[in-house]
Amino acid sequence: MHFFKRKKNRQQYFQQMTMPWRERLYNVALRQTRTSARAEDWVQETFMRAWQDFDDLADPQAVYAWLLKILDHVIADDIRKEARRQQIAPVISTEELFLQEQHSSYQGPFEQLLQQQTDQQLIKAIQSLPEDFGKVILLRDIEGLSYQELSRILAVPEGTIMSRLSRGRRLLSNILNRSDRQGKLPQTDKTTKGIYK
Amino acid sequence: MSDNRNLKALHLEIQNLLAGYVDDSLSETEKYIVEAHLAGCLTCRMDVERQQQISQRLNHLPLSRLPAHLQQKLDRIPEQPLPMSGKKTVRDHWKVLRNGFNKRIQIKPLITLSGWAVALILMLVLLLPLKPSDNQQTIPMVAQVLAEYQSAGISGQFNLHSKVGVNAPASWPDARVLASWETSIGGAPATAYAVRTGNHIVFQYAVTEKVFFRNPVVRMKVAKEGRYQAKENGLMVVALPVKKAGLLIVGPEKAIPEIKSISL
Ligand SMILES: [Zn+2]
Repeated sequence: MHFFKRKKNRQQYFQQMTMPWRERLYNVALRQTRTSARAEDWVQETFMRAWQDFDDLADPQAVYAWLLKILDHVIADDIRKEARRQQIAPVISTEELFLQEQHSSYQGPFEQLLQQQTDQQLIKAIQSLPEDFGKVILLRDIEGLSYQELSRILAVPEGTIMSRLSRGRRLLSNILNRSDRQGKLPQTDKTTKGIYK
Repeated sequence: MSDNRNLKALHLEIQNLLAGYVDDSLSETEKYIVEAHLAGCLTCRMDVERQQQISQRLNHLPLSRLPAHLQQKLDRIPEQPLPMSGKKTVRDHWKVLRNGFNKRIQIKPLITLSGWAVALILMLVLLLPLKPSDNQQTIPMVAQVLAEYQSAGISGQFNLHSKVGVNAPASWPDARVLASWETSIGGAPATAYAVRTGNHIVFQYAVTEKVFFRNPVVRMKVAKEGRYQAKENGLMVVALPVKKAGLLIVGPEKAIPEIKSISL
């Protein structure tokens, strides 16, 4: 409500607060889809909702986390609508990944393997992770947010963030190892993510 | 045997903390427990190392540039009107903008004239002031008609079928009815009329008595002065009581006729 008193400043204030985050938000969106058009739609929708709910922004310091949270909802809504998960053909199941998670036999220089991956390959590998794991990696390792911020954005306890991040990074290294041996990235069947609950 | 099983359980438990260890986000106690385990577990040590490497590698991904056309779209977002009548209306309004104005208004065409529809779209795009609003209004029905008026101009998709021979509730010398449609104001059905006057387009909304007199400010003003009016960013809304109903006229300030020239 307090912003209503300074409505003349509202537009200006909104732009001032959100404009610096546009590009980063766009990149977060871009890393969660295979088409840039879809990322653009998500970003536009996010800023529309942000503008409409601007008065809900309680802590101006946390504007980026707030925008990320809105983006997360926008993406979830969109995915629910399109049920696009159905269209992703499973090549290996995440169950299989988890089985090998405990006894990954790879002993070679992981760092070297990692450096050989192009940025695009890494993004693809993250996208192939079950959604919950990919998201924490994206927000923590790429965006550099704290566990506390992640907890607020995704509305789960910090302990859950930590365990998802642990498993997510482990899965990611398995995927990279595997792709190194097979010469291509696997795609996981995200519809089986229920098994992690 | 059972020792082994405990070790295995601890190992699995510790695995969930390794990200926190890598990111230095553990409590002192947790850190101590993890380090004690790491000393004796090669798998976890390797896991920590890989997590560190992944984290570092991902930290340095370059950013893609924001496309210019998206930049422009985002620039325009705060220019959109924002009715001040509570969340629900705000959301509804955005839905209107997203879906295109024409989907929301329920049009009951009597006669369809495609030529008119095209002309109307053109005129609305050309004549409606596109200046965004600061929206000082707190009276819901007033905010809503302002927003509808503005979004018609912004969306430019005013694909109306016009009615021929329809009279708007209010008329004045150079007023010509272009179109009429059913809509909803203040949660109750209302009839809207697009009226051309000079080089401008003015909307009239016939609203229910209940909606019209809902706001005490409007009630008082109407009782004292026979009308309520509000101005905002060059737009003006005049609220007039009519028989068993209310009438809202919205448009550019200079296009709103003198009260004495209006016949109801
Ligand atoms: Zn261990």
